[in-house]
Amino acid sequence: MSPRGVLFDMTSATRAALLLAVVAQACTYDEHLPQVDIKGTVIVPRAAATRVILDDRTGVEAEVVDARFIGPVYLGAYSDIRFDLENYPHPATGPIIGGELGNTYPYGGGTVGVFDFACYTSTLCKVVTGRYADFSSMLDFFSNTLDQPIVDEQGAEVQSPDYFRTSCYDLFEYTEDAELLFLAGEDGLDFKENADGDFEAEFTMWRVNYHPGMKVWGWMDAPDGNFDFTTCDPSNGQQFNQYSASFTTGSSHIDLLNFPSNYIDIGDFVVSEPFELTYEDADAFRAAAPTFTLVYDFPVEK
Amino acid sequence: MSRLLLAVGFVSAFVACDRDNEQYFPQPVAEYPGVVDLGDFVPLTISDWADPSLRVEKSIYDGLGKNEIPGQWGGATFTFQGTGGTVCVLVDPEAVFWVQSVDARSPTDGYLCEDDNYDDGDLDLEVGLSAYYNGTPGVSIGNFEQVYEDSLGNEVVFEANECQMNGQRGQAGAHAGRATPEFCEIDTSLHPGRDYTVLLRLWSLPADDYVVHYAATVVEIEAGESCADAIAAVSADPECALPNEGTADGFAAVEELYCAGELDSLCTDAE
Repeated sequence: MSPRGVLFDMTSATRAALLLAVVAQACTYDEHLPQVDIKGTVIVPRAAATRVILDDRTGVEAEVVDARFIGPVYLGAYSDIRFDLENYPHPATGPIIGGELGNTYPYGGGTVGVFDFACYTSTLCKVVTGRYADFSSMLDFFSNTLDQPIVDEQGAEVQSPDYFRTSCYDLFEYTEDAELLFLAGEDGLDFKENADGDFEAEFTMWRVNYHPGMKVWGWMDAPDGNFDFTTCDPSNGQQFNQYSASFTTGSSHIDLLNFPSNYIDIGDFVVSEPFELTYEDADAFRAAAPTFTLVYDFPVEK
Repeated sequence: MSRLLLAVGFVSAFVACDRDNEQYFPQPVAEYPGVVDLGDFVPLTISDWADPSLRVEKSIYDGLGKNEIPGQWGGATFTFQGTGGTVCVLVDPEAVFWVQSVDARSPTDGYLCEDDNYDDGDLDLEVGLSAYYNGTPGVSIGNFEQVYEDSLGNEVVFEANECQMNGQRGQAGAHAGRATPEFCEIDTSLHPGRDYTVLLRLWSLPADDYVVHYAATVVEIEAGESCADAIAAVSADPECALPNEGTADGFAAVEELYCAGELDSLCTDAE
């Protein structure tokens, strides 16, 4: 051994390997976090994507199936799901305080699609991410399928995708379509039709507090006849004050998972068979890395 | 002369050292304990409320001193039974007619307004089912926090105070500031006949006598009617719905001027 020590007797390759091993050690550190990411697939029935549309010109009603009818799909992890609280399966609730519904105290949650502001107030609370490939797709859907053309702030119908894009870039000071969350691109659309004719999408519920025995449940918020959603709060979201324009961009209500029955309405679809997580703890869940399928099969009718 | 000035300066400086602000540290007052339970209260009917003398006669008028145990909350509690309908709970601590001696609204005309800055106390209002109140009436002041155990045995702390007041930006859980009346609606429809506890939490004591005098009441109101509407039906200002809560000299006269919109008569011009 040299008088300067063992490290200096090694070749540079050995020293590098030793250093890498030390660094890599850090990557194996397991924090044993009590939170887990839950992944899987949601399936909404074909009926959730189906509307009967009256053609004003011909007076003929036609059934239209389109994934763009699918509203935000909510998922929550709860202590239990009960069938005696509402007319549909609903999470167990805590005490009723002051006539308010009991809080469900969820352990975590997620969505497939969230509300996003599509640059004009005429789209407020009507646009869900992951449903529209591009500007043309959105203009076409609102004009020809919904018969609710998108209009600009002067009330003129927006017909040109380029004008739409210009308005968005101007409003948000963006420079490319990728910055607009409501445009998913053809490859980014959430829902695909499956072999049964239903629609399915992948989901991730991030950082859910894991408790063995907890159940994952959810519902899909279906739009009403005006293509409005009960889970969207038009007074919530980003506030814009520019010259004479003053509006909020809308966003989901902040307590959807805590008080679902405040928002679940006729036409929505609820999960009737929640999946239960039976792994002993978060580490066991992570080791198994399971995926789940959640079917939104219960139509809310009253 | 310069020596004289120097001496005067020294004396002035040492006088300043005599100010220990002891008066701002309240002391217990024998006649007014800091933790009080006022027992059962029968809510006023709307016709009682509409009658100025019955409104005063049937409401609570009392005072609170400092809690003798340092570091512990003071306050008063009383209970009422759920009526099966909605009630309005109101507390009006003394005093605050001006919170500043110069009127910010008209700083020239109202340059100097007569006010006693040391007669203002503050009480915060909380109301909930007595079953959820975790204090010991007359002994110690608690709150309405309780623990809910879900189906999997996980414990969640929840707030059972039903007296929700919104702040200037709409946020829930707010309280009015110094000596300002507080009020809220309580829906008792789910618990008729059950006891509700009203907690008047002692937030601050007047520095003049270490006693905050107050008036408080519970009134039956129509379902869907707001407490603000019920108060507005008898008084343009919540401060004036339950008059004479203060006992200091001249309080009644000043409050009368305030409620008549004539408080400016106590202000003098800047000139």
